[in-house]
Order: sequence, then C-alpha cells, then structure tokens
Amino acid sequence: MATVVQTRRTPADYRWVRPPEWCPGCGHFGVLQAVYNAFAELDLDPSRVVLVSGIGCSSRLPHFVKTTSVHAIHGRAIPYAMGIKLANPSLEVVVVGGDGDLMAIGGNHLLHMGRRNIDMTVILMDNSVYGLTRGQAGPTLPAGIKVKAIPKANPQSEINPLLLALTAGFTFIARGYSYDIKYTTKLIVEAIRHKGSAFVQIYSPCVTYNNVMTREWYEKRIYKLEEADPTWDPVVHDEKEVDTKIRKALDKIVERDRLPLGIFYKNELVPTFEERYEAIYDPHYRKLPPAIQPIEVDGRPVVDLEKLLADRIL
Amino acid sequence: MKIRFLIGGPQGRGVETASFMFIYGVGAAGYYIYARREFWSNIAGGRHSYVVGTISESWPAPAPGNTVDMALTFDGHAVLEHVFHLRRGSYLVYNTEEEAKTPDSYNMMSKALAERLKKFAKERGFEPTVGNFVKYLRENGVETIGVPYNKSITEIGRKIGVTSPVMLARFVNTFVVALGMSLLGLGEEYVARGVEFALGKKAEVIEQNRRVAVEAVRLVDKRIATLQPRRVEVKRVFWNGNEAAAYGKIAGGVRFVSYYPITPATDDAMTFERLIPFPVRKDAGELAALERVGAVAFQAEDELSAIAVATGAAIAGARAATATSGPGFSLMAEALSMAGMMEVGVVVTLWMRAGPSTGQATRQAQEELLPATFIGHGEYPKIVYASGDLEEVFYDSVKVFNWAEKYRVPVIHLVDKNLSNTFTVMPLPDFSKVRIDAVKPVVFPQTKEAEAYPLDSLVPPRLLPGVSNAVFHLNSLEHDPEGDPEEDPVVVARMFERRMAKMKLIDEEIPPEDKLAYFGPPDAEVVIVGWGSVKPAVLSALEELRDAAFLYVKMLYPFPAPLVKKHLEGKKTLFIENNYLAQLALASRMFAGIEPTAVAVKFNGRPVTTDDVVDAYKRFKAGEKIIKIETDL
Repeated sequence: MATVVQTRRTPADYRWVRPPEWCPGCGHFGVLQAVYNAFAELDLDPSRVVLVSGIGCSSRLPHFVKTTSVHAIHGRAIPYAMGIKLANPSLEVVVVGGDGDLMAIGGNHLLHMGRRNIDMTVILMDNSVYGLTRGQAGPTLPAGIKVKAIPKANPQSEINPLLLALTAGFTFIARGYSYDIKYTTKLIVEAIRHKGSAFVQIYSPCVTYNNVMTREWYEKRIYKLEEADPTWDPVVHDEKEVDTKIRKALDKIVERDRLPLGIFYKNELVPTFEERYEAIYDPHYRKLPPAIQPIEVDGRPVVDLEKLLADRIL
Repeated sequence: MKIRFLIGGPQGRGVETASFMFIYGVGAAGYYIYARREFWSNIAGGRHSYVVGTISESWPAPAPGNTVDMALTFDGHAVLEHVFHLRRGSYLVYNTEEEAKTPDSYNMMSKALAERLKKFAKERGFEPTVGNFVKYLRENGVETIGVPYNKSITEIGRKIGVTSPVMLARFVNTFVVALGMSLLGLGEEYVARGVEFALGKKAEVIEQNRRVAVEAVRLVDKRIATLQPRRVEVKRVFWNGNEAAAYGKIAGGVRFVSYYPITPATDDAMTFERLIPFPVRKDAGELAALERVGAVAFQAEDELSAIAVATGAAIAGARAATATSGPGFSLMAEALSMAGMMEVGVVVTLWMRAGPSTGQATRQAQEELLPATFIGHGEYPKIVYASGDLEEVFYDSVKVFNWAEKYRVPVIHLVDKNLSNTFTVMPLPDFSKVRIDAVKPVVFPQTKEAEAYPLDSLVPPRLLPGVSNAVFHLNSLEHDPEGDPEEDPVVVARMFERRMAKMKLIDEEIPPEDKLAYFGPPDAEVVIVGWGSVKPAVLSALEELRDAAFLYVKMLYPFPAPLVKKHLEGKKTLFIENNYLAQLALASRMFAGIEPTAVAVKFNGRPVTTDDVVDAYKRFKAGEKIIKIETDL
C-alpha cells in the first residue's frame, strides 16, 4: 500500500509555468516573491486561493502565480473579489493592484470594502505612476513632482492610501517595501491571517517611469515601526483601546519626511461582514453559502414556493 | 363582466395603501384583477398618483384602457386629473367639500394640465372649479356620486367613539375604499379583508376599520354592478412584477443578488432580500433537515460594483444576478463585455424606465432593446430576453439563469416599469413547471492545473474555485486555453470564433416557443408586432381586432431572424412600441431584413394601453405610417 507523504508546500510550488514579464529591476518582482513565500508559509491550497486583480503592470501578478485567479477590468478587482468571497467565504481571496487601479479608478470600492470588513486582503503595489500606459501620474504621486514621462510637474496632490484605508474601516493596516522581501512576506502572512479586511501598501518602485521615487529615494526615508519603537503594539486587545490605537496609527501614517513600515493597526474585535451576515440573515451562511448550496433535486427547486408565497395567496 | 376602475389622490397620503385594500378586497370576493400604479418620482409632496385597473371574472383580465368605468377620488385634484378619463356611463366618486376649488388651488398640479383645464372650461363658458367640472361630467352622462368626506368621517368617528383628528385622518383610506366597494355591490366584509391585508392583522385595527366601512358603504346608493362573491377553485396570487421576478429568481436557484438602489429595479432585489432565508421543501433531500436555506442580498456602493460583485459570485459558482434600470445599466457596460470575454453566466434584470438620462424614473418606456443588444465594447456573445406579463416574468426568471449557466454568457432580462408596477390577482403559477437545468461542476480527484478555455469544447467546463480541485486562470485579456494572455493571431482567431459560436448554439438550442409567439389567425393580412409589456394590451385588443394577428417577440438577441421572417414575410406589419425609434422594427430590419409597413410609438412615459392598440390599428388601416400615440392614462 502506497503511503502519501504530506509535505508542506514551498514558494516554488506557487510559481506558474510562465515567468513574469516586468521590466528588469521592477519592484513588483519583490512583491511576487513575497506572495509566493507567504502562500508557502501559510501552506495555502492553491485551488482554494483566488487572486483577483484589475488592470496595470501590478495587476498582471496573478498570471505568474499557480493559484486560481481572475484578471478583471480596471478598478474593479475589489468588487469581483467581494462577490467571490461572499458567494463562498471558505475561499482565501486576495486582491492585488496598483495605485491607479485601487486608489483612482477603483477608489470607491476600497472605501466600501473597508466599512464592510469582509475577511480578505488587498495588496497595493504602489509606484505612483501608471506604468502600463507609459508613466502618467498615479494618485499617490505628490504634487509638484515631475516624473519623466509627464510633460509638466504634477498639479494634483497625493492620496495617503493608509489614511484612507484606516478611515474606511479596514481592520488591518500595514506598509511594506518590495526590495525587503522577507519583511513584506511577514506582512502579507499577517494580513491573510487577519480576520477582517486587511490592507497592505507595498512601495514597489517603477524603475522605468518613476525616476524620482526610486529605490534610493525610498531607502533614505523608510524605517520599521518596531525597530524605532520596541514597545510598538498596533493590536487592539480590548475595545476600550480602539481610539488610542487609531490615534497612534494616524500619527505614524501621516509622517511624510520619513516613511514608516510595519503594521500600523490591527483590530480583530470588529465583526466581519460574514459574521454579521450570518447573525442577521442566515445562521447557516458560512456552512452553506450561495456557491455551494444545492438548488435543485431532480431539476425541481429545493425551495417550497407555496410556503414562500403564503401571505400572497388568495 | 369587466369593470375598469381608478383610485387617485395625492401621492404619499394613502392612495397606494387604499389601492391594495381595494384590490385585495375585490380579489377576496373571488375576482381577478389587473392593475397598474402611476406616480411621480417623489415619495410624498402631494403630486397626483393613481392606480388604474380591471376587475374580471376570468383570467387574463383585460389590460387597462384609456378610460375607466369608475373613479374613486381622494380630492378635487384627482377629479381634475381624470376629467377626460371618464365617459358616458362611468361613475365618479368625489368629495363635495372640494367643489369650490380650481386648478390653481392645487399647487402640485402640473402647470400644463392646469392650463389645459382652464382653457377647456373657458371654451365652454364655465369657471374651472371642481364643482363645475363635475357638473360638466354629469351633463355628459357620467354618474357622479358626491360625498362630503370630512364631515362624514367625523360623524362616523362620533358613532364609533373616535374624535382625534389624527385618528380620523387614518380612516380616509378605508372610507374611500368602502365607497368603491359599495358601488360594486360588495359589503364591508371585503373592505375588512383589504384592511387586514394592507394594515396588518391587529384585531382592534381591523374592527375599527370594519365599523368605518359599515357606515361608509351606506353613503353610496348607486351601483355600477352587484358583484356576487364567487368561489374560485384555483389558488390565486396577489403580487406585482418586481415581486414576480424575485420569486422567479428564488425558484430558479438564485442565491446571490447585488443591487444599487434605483427605481424601478430595487423592489425586485429588496423582495429577494426580505424573503431570505427561504423555506425548503420537505422532499428536498439532505436540505430538508435545515427547513430554510439562505442567500446573499448585497447592497453595493454603485452599479460598477453591483455587476462586478454578481459576476464574482457567479465565478464562485452561485446563480447570481443584479437588478438595475437605465442609468445604472449604462455603468455596467464594461463589466458585461468582461463577462462575455471571461465566459461568466451572470444575469442583469433590467427594469426599463423612461429615459434618456434621469428621464422619468417612475414612468414607462421600452428604450433599452438596442442599448441592451449592443451594450459594452467589442464583440461578445450574450442573450437579451424580454418578458411581457407577470406570469412570464416569473417563469423567465428561471429560464434566464438556466441559459446563463449553460452557455456561460451574460444574460440581460428585459422587464419594465409597467411590469414592475403591475399588480395582479391572478392564478398562482404552476410550480411543478419550474425546471432548474443545473450544470454539474467538474471535480478532479486531485488538485491539478486545468484549462479554463479548452478549444475543443464550445462552452468551457464548469470549474469552480474551492470545488473543482483545480487551479485555473480567468482572464479579461485575450487568452490561450490556459487563460494566459495570448496575442498569437491563430490562437486569438480560434478563441474568438469559439466564443462567438455560442451565439449560434444558443439560437439552435433554445426552442422556438421560448423565442416568440404568434397569436390570431394564421392567414391574417396584418400582423401587429411587439415585445415586452405591450403584450397584454395587444392581446386584449385582439379580441376586438379579429382580422389582425400578433407576433410577440421575446428573444431579442440572438435575434430569431428565420422565425421572424417566416411570420412576417409577405405580411403588412404594424410595430407597436413604447419608444420613439421603434427599436424592434429597427432590429427586425437589421437582423431579419423585414421592412415594417408602419410603426406606432408611444414615448410619453405611459404604457401602451388596449385602447391605444385598437386606435393605432384603425389609424394604420387609414394609411398612417408613423403613428404617434399620445394618450395619457
């Protein structure tokens, strides 16, 4: 009798057949490696993971990962992912995308995912430019900066993604740096483990079009929260701590001259959307969600239609 | 026996509730009802709203026409709104306390209507008071029944021990309904049945309103009819079109509905939401033990999200839909192209309303045939399917999900405001006719990478994340069988052909009876052609127009060109539509090469009525080619 040896998956197990097609030196390689590492560390079953993305260089990431994936349209990765997750909450759903996709054309969805606290993870690969259309200003590009492809300095101010995510209600807020793969891996692992909506911003420099916010530019500014302050604890352990922890997170999130990395805020005391739905709509929701519910027996609906209509029958 | 009725009054002050009481009460006496609600795009504010309908001993009850046999009015404004909807032999119940008022007394009346009324009165040499218009109607053969509403209600209140003005005001609905019931020869017990339905089962409320009804029915001694309570052997249902769609979805196995609020679509999604969790049949196998099963109803942040969320749910394996109307539908364009490209069977229930732009949110139009057919960018397979009455709305809501799952294309189910606000007491659909054709998902014994788009199968295998033990890539980019981006011209052409070939498959496999129906004499010289909710009006009119036939088209894309040709070639055709362009006529010309003989179009926000069809046919016979219908009920 053959014995099946169950071994843990390795990062290589998540590598798809075709290699990534980004520019040499692109920050996104680091994010991709961190995703492989994180999935391996969590030993995720690739047939139960759905990677969802929109449009842009970063949104190509799912093409290079051996999990199920949905490469959708510009800006809508989050709603497609929400539909998948809410139809089958047992899936591990992860959204990846750039600052244009998630903060500009898709900004509204980010806000509303946060307030729902759906148990999934959003990874923002932030390079402040639209790479795939050759270098226009992204929504995280500060005002007054002229990156090489834009004809004049940027007249629009930048969005602070973490500030937005915190305000929207995300219950896990973190920031990484793509060339620090080990650290980014840790953040992604924590984000996926987190119960609730998790948001991870990863500075992921564009070597081709962002000639201002380069590797050197970032490395002059970044530091790690827990290294600067060994007592740093972003976790809400008790509901009474919520306001204090939010204020502390805000203090760090709004820093501009130096850019902190790490986990800014984590609160698992907020019920997830799935939990709320189960409590309000259907006690069996997570056990028997829409995607896996039998709907017919021999072609006949399982629902008792006459009973359903009882108050309308004369 | 057919009685056309109307109940009208200021919006937001009980007209809708009174109508429900009346319809349910008459239904409880054993009659069938076909009614429609007309209202402004406001919640309250006192604009005029009304319900117009037909009472019948048999089903189908005829669709409303342009005049009524009896009008129950809440105020003088309602009388003025409907002066031209009454005819010799009609009955008008009105409040005599409003007789001195004029169009200018009602500041929520359309200025245009006020001017028309004043001009009409001036031309006939009378002051435009409510009393004078009532007199004018009386002189023209309308039976007018004047009752001092407030005085009567106060007296009734005194008799039953209620004096508070707030409480008395609550009796107005019951009072008006009772006057109407009395006119029909039905007693207070049917008012009470209506009260019970519309105001709840609280014994005290029912008793108090019953006592109001006892007194109110005595105030009317004229009878338009003496309806005898009838025993009806079949079960009947009282519902509206939005509800029929929601019940149909639940029957069809839909377990995920997303929506962003928009009139007149939201009541569809909200009915679905209200009914969660659904009761399970006792013989439903392993599920029976649960008694109830759940579903997700999800209010999205906008329509861009609503369609994407529904598509995501369909990708996960749920039967999923979103309900919307014109402006929201426009926002879904890009995502529908993606569903076509990615091959996801998602359904949009499109409740058409009068456009363009915000247009008239609560009024009728059929303007979305061509927009639905061509929505999105690029060429992709889809189904556009229209329902024309509530029974169809129910059964079609099952069919469209069978097709979406089977062919993995987006399906746009066209329904409209007229259907959404049609209220019927009609035979309960035969639930044993509901068939769910479920496509079994592929399940591999061990996890493997699977081709999401194999070239050798016209419709891709049903791979579901977390169910199929498969790793697969779905892509909005043009892709190879594995779902990876591909721009190789040979592969791209094969992929394109395979996707588009699904249109031919759909056209071949869906049976003719689901695509269209032909009514009337096969050798008719003239064929009226229509789609959607003009159906009941045309069918009701056919009873008068015995030499005409009706070709009723349901499948709009892929357009059933050979069938349409077969029925229309060599015939004179009159297309009747609730739009300006005569979009079905355009589609027939484009897809089937049919040159319409004439078109009759109505684009004033009101549905095509039975009388409109009869009139359009007469004008057609007289040689008119473009018939503009301008009736206003």
